[in-house]
Amino acid sequence: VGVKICSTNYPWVFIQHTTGSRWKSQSLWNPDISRGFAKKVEEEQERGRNHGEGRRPKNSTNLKTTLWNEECSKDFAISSRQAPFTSVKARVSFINPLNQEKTREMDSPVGPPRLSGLKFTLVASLALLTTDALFAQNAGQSDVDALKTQMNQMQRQYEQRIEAMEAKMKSLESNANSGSILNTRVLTDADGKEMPGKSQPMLDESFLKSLTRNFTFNVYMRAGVAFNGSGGAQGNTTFVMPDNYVGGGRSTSRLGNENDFYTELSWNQAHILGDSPDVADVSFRATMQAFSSPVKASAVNTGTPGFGIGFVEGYVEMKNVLKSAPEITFWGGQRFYDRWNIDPEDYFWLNTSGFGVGVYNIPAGPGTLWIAWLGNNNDNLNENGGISLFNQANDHVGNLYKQTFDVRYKDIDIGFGKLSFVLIGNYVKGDTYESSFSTLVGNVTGVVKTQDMYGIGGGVIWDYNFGNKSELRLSGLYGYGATDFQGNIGNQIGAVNNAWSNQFNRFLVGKPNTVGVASNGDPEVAVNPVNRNSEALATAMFIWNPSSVFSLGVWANWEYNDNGTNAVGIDNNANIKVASGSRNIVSAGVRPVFWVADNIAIQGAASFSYIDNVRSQTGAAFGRSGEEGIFTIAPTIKPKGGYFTRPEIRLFATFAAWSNSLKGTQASGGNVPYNNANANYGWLFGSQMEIWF
Amino acid sequence: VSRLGFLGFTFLFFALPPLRAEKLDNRNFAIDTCCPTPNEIRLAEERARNYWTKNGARFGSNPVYLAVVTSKIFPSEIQLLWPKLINSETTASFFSQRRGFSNLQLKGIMIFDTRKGRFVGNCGFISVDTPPLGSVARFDDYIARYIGFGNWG
Repeated sequence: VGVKICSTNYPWVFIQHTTGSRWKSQSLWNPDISRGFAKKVEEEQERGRNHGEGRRPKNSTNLKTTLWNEECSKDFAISSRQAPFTSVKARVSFINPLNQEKTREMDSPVGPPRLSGLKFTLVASLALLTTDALFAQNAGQSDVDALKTQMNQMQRQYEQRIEAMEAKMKSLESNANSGSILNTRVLTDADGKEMPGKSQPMLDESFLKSLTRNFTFNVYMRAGVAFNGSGGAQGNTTFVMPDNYVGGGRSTSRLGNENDFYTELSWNQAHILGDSPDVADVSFRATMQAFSSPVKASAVNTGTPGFGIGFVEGYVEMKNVLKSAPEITFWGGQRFYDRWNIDPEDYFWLNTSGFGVGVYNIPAGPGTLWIAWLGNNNDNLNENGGISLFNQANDHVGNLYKQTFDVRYKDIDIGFGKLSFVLIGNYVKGDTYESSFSTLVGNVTGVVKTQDMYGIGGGVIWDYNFGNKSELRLSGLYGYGATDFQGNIGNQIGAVNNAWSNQFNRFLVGKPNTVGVASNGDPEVAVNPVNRNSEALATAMFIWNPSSVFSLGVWANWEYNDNGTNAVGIDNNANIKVASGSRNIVSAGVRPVFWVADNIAIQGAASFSYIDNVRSQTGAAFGRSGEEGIFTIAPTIKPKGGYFTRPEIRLFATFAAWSNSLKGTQASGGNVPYNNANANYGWLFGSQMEIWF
Repeated sequence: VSRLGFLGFTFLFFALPPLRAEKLDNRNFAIDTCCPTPNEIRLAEERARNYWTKNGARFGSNPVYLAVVTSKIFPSEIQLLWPKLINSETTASFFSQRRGFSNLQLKGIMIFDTRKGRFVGNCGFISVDTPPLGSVARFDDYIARYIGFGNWG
């Protein structure tokens, strides 16, 4: 075994060693050796100088020691106290010829002894080298042992930590697996001993934490104010076609054409029973709705005309109910139920939302199955007020109750988009009851007798996703009888009331009718219009986000509605007229958005609507067709990212024009100053905010 | 005619293979991550294995991953959901039915390794839109074949 110490670079010692013919380089961490070695070299240098054979280094403060050794010099030519790895750099510098000069400059601050003292120096040096090298080897071995010991200690520490963590996880899992939010906790005294008889079930801390961790809050809100072209307040003015869609909405364009302050505030709590996989996964959502129009004061409240507040959602959803199919989700309560809309018109054409129960997300082949049973009723008997003697004596039914059986087979992949099929059945038990009806001579109290109402309908929705939140959606629905694709019974009660009024109006004008006399002396009419109703609609909506600075919304709708009876009305000249009970509305529009800066856009909307038969019972428009156009320009502060980015802060100017046949109707805004018989266009100017998250 | 025939042949030669080639939808279909329950993972893994046993030969080994719907996720389980939705390329189905999270359908999707016959981990991704069944798409760092619940085909 041969060992040579080549140089030191405190605290490193660079050696070469061999067990045969090949020498190997190695560096060792050993401050004692390096310091001792350096001292010996300095002594040698001093001795050489005393013999007039040495020379001082140019920069003795930077360079500690260097040993010039024939065998080692190629590998360890220099060493620097300030740069522990200089020797490594030096080795590299030997490879790179361009660095030779620099290396030489740093080389050899202490020159080799001259020949006169060489003999003695070599003997002494070799003796020292041999001793120190052997010692260095032993020291190096002890360093390795020390390192191994240190690593073993660290390994033991890590193992202990992992064991502690595993124990804690098991403890937490055992708590979670208890399957109840009321985990029993043992109360202890000050010494940590269990207090007998004091054990009480109490809320676990993890549950309390989950209340905040799994809580979310959602908002939809629009708030704006505007004035009309005459300088007065917008009030209730919105330019909407008369005899509007069955599903409500605008039937024109909503941009710069909304008169209300409206909000939905939702609170959500997930994992109500905790995170354990052994319990049902329960989520709760409640949505409060508030709205106000036409007053725009600094504060609106329940004392403000047009203000309303209530709840539109309050329901529980549960998954992990069936262990063999944990994704199947059950719900119960009041909710928005898979409703579909044309957003630029705010038109919910499929909206069976309401109270009920259901189950959804049932895997069935390439799609999922949704089943719901919903109910809806109004207070047509005035149960919440002064119920009449006739209705008190009515022991047949109670308030009319609309049942909706809703089955959907959704998200069926057909390669180019997805299909969803909708099948809806409705049933309303018939009744005989007393109510107040609007007629040509004002409100008349009468008795209506209606049969059981049935309905069935369905259709298909096709979605094609272009990417980047661009989508084309087409739909077609047809319903017969009580099925109008709306959960609310209001349309059915409205049809019954209209039928009663029409028969009474016919009685008033001397046309054939079915008006009779009830047991209490009221006029009584037997009507059954709902079973002759029909509703057909087709919608198309295209949202396109082709670039970061341009988005586009395009839509087109057709809705046919037959309320099952002829309408009898009166025009502005007091002429009695009879109109068909059916009408068509066709509308189409476009809403482009151009961003002129990252958060500033110019958007606009243009739409056109046509109706072939206005069934309203008074006014010049009764029984006539008409059309309306509406145009809006709206500089908007709006984030980039696509058509639906929110919030939006808008200034808008809206111009609407309508045909002469629709003068005085809702097309004129339905409010002063444009609802007079002369105006056929109007303006709105204002600002609006819309946010949704 | 021969020149036209040559051109036609050339067109078909170059055009048809790309048309027939399987396309990769490189949009990221993951908007967030989720960790389904062990029961959900077990059931989904079983479905994925069965699916691959029946259809593996048809699809081949590229890619080696399957994206499997494992669980349903409630919107309220996701913090800061809105920015995740608005900043994703694959949330069109939600925005087309906009306003209100009651309509939002979130799917928990896990990545199944067909070589090992099991999921690559205990957690997966949350998706709103999903690629067509059987197609290849990206879920975060994984290129996977989407098989839905794995109960078809």
